[in-house]
This record gives sequence, structure tokens and C-alpha cells, in this order.
Amino acid sequence: MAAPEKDALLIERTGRGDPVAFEELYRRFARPVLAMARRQLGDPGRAEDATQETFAAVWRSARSYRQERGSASAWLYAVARHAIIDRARQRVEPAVEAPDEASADATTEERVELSWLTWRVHSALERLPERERAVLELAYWSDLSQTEIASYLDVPLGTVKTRTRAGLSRLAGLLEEVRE
Amino acid sequence: MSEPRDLDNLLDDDVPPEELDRLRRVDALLRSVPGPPPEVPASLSRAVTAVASAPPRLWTRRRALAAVALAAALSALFFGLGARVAGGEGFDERAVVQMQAAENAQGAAAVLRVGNPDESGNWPLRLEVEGLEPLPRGGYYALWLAKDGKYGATCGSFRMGEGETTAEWTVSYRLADYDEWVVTAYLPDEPRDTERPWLLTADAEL
Repeated sequence: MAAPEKDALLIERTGRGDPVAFEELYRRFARPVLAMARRQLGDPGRAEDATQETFAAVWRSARSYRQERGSASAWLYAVARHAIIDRARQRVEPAVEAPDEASADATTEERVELSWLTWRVHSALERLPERERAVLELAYWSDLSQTEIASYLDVPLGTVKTRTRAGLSRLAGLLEEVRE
Repeated sequence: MSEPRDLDNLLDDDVPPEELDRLRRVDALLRSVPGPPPEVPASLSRAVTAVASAPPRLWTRRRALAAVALAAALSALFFGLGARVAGGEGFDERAVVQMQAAENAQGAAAVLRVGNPDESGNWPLRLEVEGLEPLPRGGYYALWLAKDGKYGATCGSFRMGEGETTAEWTVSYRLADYDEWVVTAYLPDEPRDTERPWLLTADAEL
């Protein structure tokens, strides 16, 4: 079953009160939701609250999801954005304007586009086997060289390159699959 | 944080050109987004898992409405502020509807708050929208009630500014006569019979 269909099925099962499906959904999307909340709220504690509220909203409203109206990923993204907006409204201090590391003069449209792109990429990363995901995250978002990654993971350099290629290839497939 | 090494340095030399092109596109995407997403604290996972440990029946509409009513009553009792519920301050909510973005409006999100009708049957609506692009001068968005996939009754119009936009209206329709909420766009100088795609939709059942 393709990734989008699997996500849609998980939401439908969650809507029928299936806690196993809900946990799987949580496992799949918790990191992208938390990442988005952290970028938009700035504060880790508030971000966790927003993430919890997102999944509470998913549990309550999954029954209303209709696959024919849009992808599961887009639905979850919308639920998360609103939980985060609600949480942002409750803050007393000025909002942290660090949306997705966009430049300060980025337009709303550009920020939304980057937020959506980031969501898609991070959601797809969650689908990779752990060993491929770890290599990609280290390669792209750490200061480590391939040799240092090999040392850090205690695997040969060739293995790091093989996993990088496999991970990128799998990620390409996932992103093509969920082009929404 | 430094840029990751060039893709050629991340891979072996034996990648065929067509595969390399595909990998370059992903490489460019990965370089364009912030990351990585944070690890999720165990305490958060426990809290979320607990959400599903309650029987789903707990969240039937009747019970949810009862919970909202209770929240409103408690709020009034303790704060003397009248009906007040999370996310809808000053708005006496009967239902909160999460609208879904259609394929042509990916990244958009909206919540429609439906208030309790007054004695005459007027329903307060509050629409909170984000991610729809501002339209050219003279253009606007509109919220409709639809039935069987066709436009039924218009509820109000709004324009998008920077960030989130909130619009409020009152409608006097029998909501039970419709099955869907839809948001569509009107561009300036469009012929009246223009086919308008639905950008955001949601079930109208309350």
C-alpha cells in the first residue's frame, strides 16, 4: 500500500476509535508536528503543548476526515497549524517570528510554501528506515563529514555512502508519491 | 551550521546519471528546509497516548457539546466572562469545523466556528483562515454552504491579508439543509459563469 493511502487508512481507523492506528499516526507525524510547533512558537514547552493538542484534535476529529477531499498529510498539517495558532494566541509575550527560517522579508505565501515543503520533507523522512534517516540527518543537518559520520555510527565509510544513496532514493520515491 | 558536502561527496562514483538527477532534486529539497525535526520527549508520547486510552464514545458530539457547555459554565462561574472556550474567546461555540484544503490550495488551513443560533435562527459564524494567497485588487474569497456538490447559499466574503485572517458573519439558513461548507475564490473581472474550484471544504453536519 502506498504511503498516502496508508496514512488515510490510519486516520479512518483512528476515527473509528482504534488506538493502535492512532499511535501509529502519532509515531509517523509526531516529529514533523513538534518541529513545526517549535519553529513557530519558539518555546519547547509550548511546542510540546501544541503537539499534544494537535493529536488530541486528531483523535477527536478523525471521523470528519474525507480522503476524497485531500491527502491525509495535508489534513494533519492543517490540524497541526491550527493547534499551533491557538497556542500562539494564548501567549502574552511577543510572538517569536522565526517561521521555518524564512527570511524576514519573505511574503506570507513564501512562508506558507516553505512550511508546507518542510512538513512534506520531514514527514517523508519519518518513513525511512532508521539507519537511512540517521545518516541523512547527520549529513544534511550536522557539521559532520562522511568520515566523521562513519566514525560516529561506528560503520565503514562505504556503508554511510550506501545508506545515503538508498535513503535519498527512497526519499525521492516518497516525495513523488505524496506530491499533493 | 555548515552546508552539507556536495552531493557527489556523499555518494559513491557509480551512480548512473539518471539516478543522480533524481537524487539531486531530493538533495536540493533537503538543503532548502530547516531541520532535523526534534526527537519527541517520552513524556509527550505518554501524554498523547493517554488521549486514546479513553473510550472513543467519550467524544461523541453530544458529549463534546456537553463538555463545551460545562467549560462555558465553569468559565462564567470563575471568571464572569460568559461563554468562553479554547480558541474561540468571546464566541459562544456550538461546533468547531476543521476545513480541509483541496489540492489547489495545499498549505491553506481554516477553522470554522459555528455559534449557537439566536431565538430567530441566526447562526453566528467565525472563519479563521491561513495560507490562502491574497487576491488581486477586487478579488475576494467566499464561504458557501453546498448541497450534493453544488453551491447552495452564500455565507459571506473575505479578503486575505498577511498571515491569518478572521471573518465573522451571521447566516439565517437552516444548516441542516446543506451538507458541506466550501470556500472559493472570486477574481476581478471574471465572467459570472466561471467554474470556481473549491479551495477548502468540510462536512456541514453539526
